[in-house]
Amino acid sequence: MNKIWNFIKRWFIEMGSPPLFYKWSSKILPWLSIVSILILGVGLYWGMFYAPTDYKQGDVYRILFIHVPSAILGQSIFMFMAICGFINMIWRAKISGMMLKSAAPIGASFTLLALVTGSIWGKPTWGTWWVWDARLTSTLILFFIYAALIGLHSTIEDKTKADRAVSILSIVGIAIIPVIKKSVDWWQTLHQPSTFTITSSPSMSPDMYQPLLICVIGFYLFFALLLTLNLRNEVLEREKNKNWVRQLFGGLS
Amino acid sequence: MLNGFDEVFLMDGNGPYVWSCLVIFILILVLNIFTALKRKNKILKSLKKL
Repeated sequence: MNKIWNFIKRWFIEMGSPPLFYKWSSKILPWLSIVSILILGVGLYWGMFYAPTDYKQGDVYRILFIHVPSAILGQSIFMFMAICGFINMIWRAKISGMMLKSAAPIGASFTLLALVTGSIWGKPTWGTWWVWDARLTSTLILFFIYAALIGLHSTIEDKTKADRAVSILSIVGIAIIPVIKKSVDWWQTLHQPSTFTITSSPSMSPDMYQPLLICVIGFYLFFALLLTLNLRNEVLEREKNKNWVRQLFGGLS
Repeated sequence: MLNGFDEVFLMDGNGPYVWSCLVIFILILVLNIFTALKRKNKILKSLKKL
């Protein structure tokens, strides 16, 4: 047990170092690309072609294989950012600030995707593209918070100060997550209850639930891939005057 | 399982809604990857100048 704990501790410390992260990510990037594309491809193919048609909604429910994972990811990325913000405020770990900046556009993209696909699903199901429903409105607020985080970081020139400002906003902004999660219980909404819950078994048939689960895993892996790509760029940009970067790219012997 | 072009594309009449979501999803993924790669090239160019 002690050995495992020491390994995890060492891994975290090593990943906090930009040169070690860059070296480690070079090795993992090709594998992550293959696995994420493969799992996402399998999940979507299964959901789009093999999953049975829903008796109530018909084939339009297939949008949920994109909508549900993107909504889950949009919220998860924000929670991840709040954790990074907390680490950045307490331990001032350089990489946590870089992670914040790298994760924000991905989170915004997936939240926007959840809003757009939800809207497209709403047209044939509810008969309208948009309603000012609690779940939809709180998700739209989440998207605006992402936009504010991106905007705030780009307006502050000093990267350390920008990281700190974004950390505070992400920690404060986390309050929106339980509101989104509980919006279907607290208010009367058009939106259906959560598809995934930890406390109860899924209300969907296993034929539909299994591909959805694979899609969710695929989306998470794709997030890991996009985050690694963005983070590597951020590391290079911020550390470009450091010897390890110059040695790596032959600028300095 | 869905068979045949009409059944796959049109489904029960809601096919265009489903496929437009898939297209938007792919566009967002491609855009994210493209921006990351473009930024990488820009950084590498600036590193060469140093």
